[in-house]
Amino acid sequence: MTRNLFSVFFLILFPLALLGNANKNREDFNYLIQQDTLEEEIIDSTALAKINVLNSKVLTIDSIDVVPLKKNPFLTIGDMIKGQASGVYVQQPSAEPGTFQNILVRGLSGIQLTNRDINNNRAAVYVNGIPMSLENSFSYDIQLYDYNRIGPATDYASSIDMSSIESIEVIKDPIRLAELGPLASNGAIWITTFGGKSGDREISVNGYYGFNTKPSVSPYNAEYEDMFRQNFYSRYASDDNKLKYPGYLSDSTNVNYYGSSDWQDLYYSTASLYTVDLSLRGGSDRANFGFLGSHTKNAISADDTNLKRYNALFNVNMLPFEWMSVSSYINARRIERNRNRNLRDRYAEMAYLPDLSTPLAPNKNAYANYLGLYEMDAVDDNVTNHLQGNIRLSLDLLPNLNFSTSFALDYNEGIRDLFYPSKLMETINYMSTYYGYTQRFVFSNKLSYWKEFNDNRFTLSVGSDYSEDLYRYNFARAYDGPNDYIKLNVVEGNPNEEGYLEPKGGLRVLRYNNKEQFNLHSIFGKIGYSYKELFEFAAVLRWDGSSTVQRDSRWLFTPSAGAKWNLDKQLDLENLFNIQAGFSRLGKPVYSSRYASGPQYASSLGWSQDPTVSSYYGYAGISRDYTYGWTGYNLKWAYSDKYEVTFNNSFFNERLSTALSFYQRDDQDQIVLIPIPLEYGYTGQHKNGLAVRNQGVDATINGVILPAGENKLSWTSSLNINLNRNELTALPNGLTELQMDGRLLRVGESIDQFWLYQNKGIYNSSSDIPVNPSTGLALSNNGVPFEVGDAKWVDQNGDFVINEEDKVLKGRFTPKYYGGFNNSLTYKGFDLSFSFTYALGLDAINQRASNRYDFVNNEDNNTIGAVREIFQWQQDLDISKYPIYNVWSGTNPYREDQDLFLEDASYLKLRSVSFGYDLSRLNYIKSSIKTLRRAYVYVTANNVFTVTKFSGNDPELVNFNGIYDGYGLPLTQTYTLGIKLDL
Amino acid sequence: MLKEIYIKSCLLVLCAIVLFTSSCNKSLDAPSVEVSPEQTHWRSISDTKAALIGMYGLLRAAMVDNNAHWMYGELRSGDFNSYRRQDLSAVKESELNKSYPVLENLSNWRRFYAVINATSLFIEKAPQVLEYDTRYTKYNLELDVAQAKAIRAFTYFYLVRIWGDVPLITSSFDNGSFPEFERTDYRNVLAFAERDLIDAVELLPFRYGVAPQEYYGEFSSNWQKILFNKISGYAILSHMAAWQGKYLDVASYTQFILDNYTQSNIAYLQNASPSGTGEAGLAGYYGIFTNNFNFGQIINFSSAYEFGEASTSGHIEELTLAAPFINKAYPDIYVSKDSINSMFSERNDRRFGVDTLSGLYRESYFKNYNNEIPVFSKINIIRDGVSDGDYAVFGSNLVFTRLEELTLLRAEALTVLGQDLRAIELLNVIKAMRGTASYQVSQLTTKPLLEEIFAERRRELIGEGWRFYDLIRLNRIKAIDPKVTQLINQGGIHWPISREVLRNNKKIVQNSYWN
Repeated sequence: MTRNLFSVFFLILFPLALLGNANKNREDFNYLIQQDTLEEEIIDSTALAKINVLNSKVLTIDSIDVVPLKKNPFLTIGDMIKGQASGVYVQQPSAEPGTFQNILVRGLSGIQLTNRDINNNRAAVYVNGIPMSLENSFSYDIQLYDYNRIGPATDYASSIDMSSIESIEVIKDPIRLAELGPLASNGAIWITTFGGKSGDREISVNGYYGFNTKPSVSPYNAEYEDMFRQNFYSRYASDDNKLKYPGYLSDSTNVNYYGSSDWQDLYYSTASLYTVDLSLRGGSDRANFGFLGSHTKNAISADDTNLKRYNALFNVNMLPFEWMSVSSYINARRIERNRNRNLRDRYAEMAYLPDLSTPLAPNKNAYANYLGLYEMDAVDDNVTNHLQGNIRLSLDLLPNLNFSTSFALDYNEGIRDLFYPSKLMETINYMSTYYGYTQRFVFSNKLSYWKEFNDNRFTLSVGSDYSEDLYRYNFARAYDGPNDYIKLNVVEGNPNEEGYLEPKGGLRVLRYNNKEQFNLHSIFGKIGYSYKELFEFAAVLRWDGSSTVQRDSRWLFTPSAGAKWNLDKQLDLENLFNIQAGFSRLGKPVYSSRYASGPQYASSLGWSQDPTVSSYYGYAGISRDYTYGWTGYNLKWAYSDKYEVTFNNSFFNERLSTALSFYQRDDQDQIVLIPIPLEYGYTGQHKNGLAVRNQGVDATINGVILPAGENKLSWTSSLNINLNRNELTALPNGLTELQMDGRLLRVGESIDQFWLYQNKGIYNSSSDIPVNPSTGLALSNNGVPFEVGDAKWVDQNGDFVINEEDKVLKGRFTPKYYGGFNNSLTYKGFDLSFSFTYALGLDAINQRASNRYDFVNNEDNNTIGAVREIFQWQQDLDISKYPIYNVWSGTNPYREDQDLFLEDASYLKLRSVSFGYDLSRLNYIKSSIKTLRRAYVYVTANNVFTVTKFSGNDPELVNFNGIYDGYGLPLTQTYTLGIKLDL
Repeated sequence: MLKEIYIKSCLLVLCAIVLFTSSCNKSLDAPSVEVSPEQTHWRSISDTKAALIGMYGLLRAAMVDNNAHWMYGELRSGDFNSYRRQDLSAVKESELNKSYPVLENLSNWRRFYAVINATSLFIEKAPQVLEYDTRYTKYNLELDVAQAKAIRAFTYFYLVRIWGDVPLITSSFDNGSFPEFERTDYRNVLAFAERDLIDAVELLPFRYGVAPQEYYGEFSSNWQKILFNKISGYAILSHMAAWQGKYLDVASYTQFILDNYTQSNIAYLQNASPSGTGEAGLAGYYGIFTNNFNFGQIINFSSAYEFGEASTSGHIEELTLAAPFINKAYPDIYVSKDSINSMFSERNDRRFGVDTLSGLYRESYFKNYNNEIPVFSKINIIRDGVSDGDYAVFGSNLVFTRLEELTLLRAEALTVLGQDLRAIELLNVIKAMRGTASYQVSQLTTKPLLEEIFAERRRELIGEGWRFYDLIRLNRIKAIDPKVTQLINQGGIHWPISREVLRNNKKIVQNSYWN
């Protein structure tokens, strides 16, 4: 049905588009279209208003000044907005280009304990009104370890080229979010791109070239490692333990391990990065166009990781009749990524652990041999293709009645071909291929009516959005192919031949695929009223229907309302002063269709170490999905209630302006797996009822410290700060506590707390160990008595048993305060800008330290924690912090869940400094190139310094769940030299 | 102008259509392709087949998760030592409350209760398929339900061996309510299981899919490797009785097995290390642990490489294999030379002994005997039984029991019942197959028969998950080992119940030994 409508739509639209003359569009960009009133000569103000769709300038306080940003070699949307707007916090576990980042607007809305949880918390990104889709998390289901998702694992948000961005705004206003609908329930990043503009033809060429520097590291060799371990062996080891001392450490004549540790010369190398883009735009007052093409390479110095991106963008706006406008935007992008060569990531991808007892040697020659194998034979191609576009039509049916309709598409596909030769793996080779895509189309219609009489203005709009998401992947892997020449799984393609579709070379190929859909249909109405310029009121009513909610509760009605009072106008003040208040309720989308099915059967016969098994003796086996948990009926929508009061002020003739928002966000009725008696076989039961409250203040202070003027120094400064606290306000069935992934969620406490034993040092003598006076038994850990050399953990409940009940909630992994401080100074043609970012009051668990100290258990068990990477041959932790415990103790003294490893991860960073000059001010340049409008050259330095107490490499490079594992590739200093030419 | 008005009014109509007709609810039906919802399930014979297979699959998953079967049965107090792993040492030494994740996982019984829930659900729901699918016959249903009952009984027996008293839940409660149950006395649990099983063995066939009657579209060659048959039912009954010391019952159940096993194509494993698939043999690439084994199995769980079910974990090989078979310097667990020597005292033993002609060791059970750390190689099925250990995934069968085991169990029962001569006869069946000297009646006074039967079990069944339970049974009959006896008396033979189980059901109390 819907599909038919699309074809009708196109049939009508295309002939009209061919008529083409010019364009206009209003309602969807209502809040954006405050016009660029600066330099352009006025063609015709009304026509201009209708035609310049994409290059409208945003003036709200939450929009980001992209001009200074564009002097930085930022790659992803997260990079661009970090520290630039209040209330936006970006998590970045690694500096590796293209890896996932999480964008949180006003805190966590739900649980975030694993990588797959980020989709539930991440803010939506809209590009020219198109909601970018997120890669579905379902591919994690077939993975034993969730370090990376299978496939290229490139964050879609790194595909948007900064050169194509004209404006970025963070939408937090409840009413505006309500207009966007459920997809925006975690906040929205609203991006508009470069686009057509009526006027003289403009050509711009921009580019930069730069390099990322090597970090300074303190490498060590086996001698140091041996000394480190002797601390433990001399004190606690039994003869048997000593006998089994690792071979690579016991032979001090082995030059690979005991020789010089100079792996870093190969692992780190200064990496070059560049971008070049060319844009062109122009047009008449009836039609305009814009084209932008760019190529970017981003790289960091570690492990030869880089990313290449190709980007083409095209926009046409037409106004065939005064009452009709058509515009279309299309953006194609491609990313090729060189990923890291971590062993851990490789074994996780393979789901196969070889013998890990001997690590890579820290010696350069040995490492060079290893890299040689990698470069010679390995294949690791990671490509993502992105296509995004929309076509919109706007009709002024009556002077005060407008109809607009649009069709938008966002398509992202990822391809990964992987081959590890047998030499690299010592014995077997491995190949895998992945093809997956995420496709979203949105069909929107809106009818708007407005009426003015006297000083009153009424607006009314009704509309509907229909979006369909399709997620799909095909994954195939094969182990131990016949030789290292067959690198890809090639099948016989001819159906007439023998062995049709059989893999060549006798490969045993394991195949996995899955598909997921999410359809969302929304009907909404908006009523607006304003009186003079004094008072504004708006209400939005929505009905959202989702395919991922059970049928009988599929439709959700959500109302929203807000008002604004311009006190400055009312009281006739010179400075800006207004108050805005709003409330909205928004459904929260679910990207899995499993809840909608109710009680269900699945093919899940796997076990903890092998979750993918779905057959028994080759026969498909189906049962209730006990590992997934019980899914009953009556699962409903979760929703988010948002409250906000905002004060916008300015002082001293607008030299100082402030915006202060007090907000509360209640994300209610979220579905979570809650415990049930395990005697039914289920891991738990999915139930609505988890609620999280975020409360806080967003503040932005913009100051003109020195005003602009000819031949004068000017200085503008902007400070933004967010104070946020979250609280778990409810759990399903009135539960007060819920254990999950080694954390404890307790009602009334933050959801991002760690659950830890409190460490008070070490038991140095047996007299230190408390003895229960009533039983005469020594303090024990789940029945294992403490001994000398064990960790001293606080027995919170005083029962002389250290167990889970003695763990306390401590620390948080999202910050209490965060924001940025951005400055720009100009003098004559020179300008200098610098930005700081900071995050305070957050903590991280130093898993890297825990893993390093817990070497005995890790290595003996051959777990993935025992993988030793080449870059771990460096001093990356503060050894003075940790006592020397008995690593062989049954109490597991170096366990990760204790506050010994909890560290303050607050930081302040000088993130960017740039200095530039506009050469076009020089007369001889101006006179030699007549059409030159601007010739701006600049130098930029990034990641200049960090102030922190954190003992690891970088407090920013922490996983989404607050675990610092030391795997994040470093954010080192980057220097770029660039030029921007406007002709 | 007229044209414009015309276009406009057309568009207006179109807009109205678009706006109000696009709201069709149907487009919001996008059911998950990953799962089958309740409403459309239990409609056809393929649903019952998948559910039947599902029960076996879940049981396999429960038994191999964290190598549980061997952790519980073989490692604990057994002949294997941990090379380096602290957590495995803790299992061996019965220090099951130490802070190792493996121990916590092993003390969680959820995965066994998943099997129980699936079987109850099957018994409740399968009959409704009769209405919807005429291909599904009453006879088919009978066979399926009998298997479900047998699986449930087996699972309860398995649970009882590990945790003692466990909650007895006999229906699926498949309605979103999850009442809390207390632990039931293990005797009542076993009584229930036995009743169910006695019903089931009546219906269970010796063979599934005997021509011309197919079972789920196939004849018996595949089914005999994986499904529970009549002999399986009697084997479970025998063991349940033996665990409770009801040796009279054991004698009668095993009698049935020994009288009828050939009907299920079951054979004695005459050869300790067979050289081809034609003969029923024990160790090596053609033995009972491979998918190449072409005889009937009694209770067996397959992970055939052929079907992509071979895995690195869930097989004893993960713990026991090392160089020269796979690329691993030392095994996680090994049997020390001393233990090997005390176990295999006879040079002619085909499982492990010395070849009198060449002077070399027979390596069916152990490789690298001359090294410090011998490698246990009795069960050594890399992929589908290849010698190339580069890609170490294991496709071995989890053989829960086989004819030799049941023969020795019968010998044990007969000994307890005082029928020594008949017991010796059975013991010597095994000894003859393995090339060792027969037990003579004259030895009864010098070499106690019961101990000898258990010593034979130890030799024959090492690596198959019996050792710990054998020790329990032996010491219950005759307190020989003070350590084990102490464990029995104090209730320490059972595993602690995991904290998660206790947290989720407040009516469950911890085994007192582990408090």
